[in-house]
Amino acid sequence: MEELMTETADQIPGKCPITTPHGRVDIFDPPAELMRLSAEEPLCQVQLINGETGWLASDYETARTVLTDRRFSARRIFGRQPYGSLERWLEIGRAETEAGLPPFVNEVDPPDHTRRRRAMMSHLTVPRLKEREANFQKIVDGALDSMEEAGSPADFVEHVALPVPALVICDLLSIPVEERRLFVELSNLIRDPAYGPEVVGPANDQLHAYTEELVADRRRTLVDGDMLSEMIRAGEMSQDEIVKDVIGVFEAGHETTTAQLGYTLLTLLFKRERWEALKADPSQVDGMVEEALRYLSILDMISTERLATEDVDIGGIVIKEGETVVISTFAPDRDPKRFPDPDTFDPYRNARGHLAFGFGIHMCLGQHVARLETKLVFSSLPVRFPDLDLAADPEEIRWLVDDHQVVGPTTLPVKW
Amino acid sequence: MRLEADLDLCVSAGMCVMTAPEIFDQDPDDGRVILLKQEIEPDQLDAVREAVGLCPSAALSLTDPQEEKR
Repeated sequence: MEELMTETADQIPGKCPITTPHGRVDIFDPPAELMRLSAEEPLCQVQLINGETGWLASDYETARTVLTDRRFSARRIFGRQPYGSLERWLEIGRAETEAGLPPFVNEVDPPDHTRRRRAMMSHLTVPRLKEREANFQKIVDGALDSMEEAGSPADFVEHVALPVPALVICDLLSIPVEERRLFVELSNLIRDPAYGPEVVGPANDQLHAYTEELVADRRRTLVDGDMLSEMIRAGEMSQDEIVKDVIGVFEAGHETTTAQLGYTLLTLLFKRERWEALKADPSQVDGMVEEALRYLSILDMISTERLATEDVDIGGIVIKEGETVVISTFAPDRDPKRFPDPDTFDPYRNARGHLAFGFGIHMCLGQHVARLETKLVFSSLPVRFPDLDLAADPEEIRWLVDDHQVVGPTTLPVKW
Repeated sequence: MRLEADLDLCVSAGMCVMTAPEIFDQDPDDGRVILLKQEIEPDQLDAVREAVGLCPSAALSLTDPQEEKR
C-alpha cells in the first residue's frame, strides 16, 4: 500500500497526543485515522507545529459551522499550522515582515477583507469569465499543441498543467505577452520542490520587484476591462495591498490549479472507464469537474486555520478565545453524512456544496477561473487525444508533499 | 416564496449564479448578487433552495409570505 503521508510533528511530552493525520493512502483516499475522527470526534484536539494545542474540524457539518461563524478570525499567524516545518513557516513569516507587505486578502478580517475582496471580484465573476472564455481556450489549445509537438510520451504537467493556469492569470492581469514567460518561469521556480531557499529567495524578490513595476506601469496607463487597472482605479487599496494581492493571485491560482489538472487526469486515466465515459458523454464535463474537486480536495487543512476571538460553543464543546481551529476540507468532502458513497468517483452526482474551495467569506476568489480552466482542458483533451493513457505506473508518480501545501503530481507521463 | 439578498453579506462568490443562472446574476462593478426574480415559482424552488444553501456568506433567504402574515 503506497502511502503519501508525510511525517507529522514530533510529539511534545505533556501536549495533546493527536498529531494531524493528513495526506493520501493508495493515491486517492484519506487516512483511516482521519475518517475515524470525522465519524467519531469531528471536533477534536490536535497538536499544532508550534506546540500549541488546537482543534481539528473534520466532518462536513462542523467544518461549515466554523467556516461561517464570524466569531472566528482568519488573521495570519505563522506557526500554528497543523503540519509542516515550523522553521520554514517562521522563515516565511520573517521574510514577509521584512518585505513590509500586508497579508494576502484571505488572511485579513472585515472590514479590510471586504474592501480588498470587492476590488478584485468584478473580474472573477461567472458572467465576466464567460467573456474571457475564448482567450482561455486559446491558451489551452496552445498548451495541447505543445504537448502534441513534443510527441508521445510527454509530461502533461510540464506541457499543460503548469502553463495553462499561469498564462490564464497573465491574461486576467493583462500582462504583456512578451513578459509572460518571465512571470511564468518565476512562478514555476518558486513552487518547484527541487529548489531550496537560495534559489527561491532571489526568485521571490525578482517576482516582487517585477510586480511593483507592473503596477507602476499600469497606474500610468490604465487598461479598460482589466483586473489590475480596476484594483488601482477603485482607489481603495494601498500600493502594498495591490502588489501583495497580485503576487497572492499567482500564489493562490497557479500551483493549485496545476495540481488539480494533473490529479484530475490521473483520476480519469487510473480507471479507464472514467475516461471512456467522459468521451462518450462530453456533457458530463461540468459534473466531472465538480466531482473531481470534491473527490480530490487538494488543499486540506491549509489556509483554514481560524482563531476564536471569543469563546465559541460548538455542539457542547467550548473553543476558548485565542484557540485555533484547523478545518479539514478533504475529510468533510468524504463525509458519508453529506455525500453518500463518498469514496466513489461519480461525475453524475451533484457534488456542489463540497469544500474544496473552502466556504464562508474567504471562499476562493478564483474558484470560477479554476472551474473554467479545468472544464476547457477536459473538453478539449479527449477530443484531441482520445487514446490518451498513462505512460508511467501510478505508484511511481512523484508528488508535491509536506510544505508544498497542495496535493498533486509533479509529473504525469502520458502517451497517445 | 419570496427571495431576498443581503448585499452587505454578499461576497460575490457566484455560487448562486452557477446553480440557478435564470434567477441570479452578478453586478459588473463588484460582483455582488443581482436577483433577476424575487417571486419564486414552485418549479424553481429546488434550484433556488440549493443556491440559498450554497451561499458561503448566508446572504440569501427564502421566505413564505403566507407564513409571515400569520
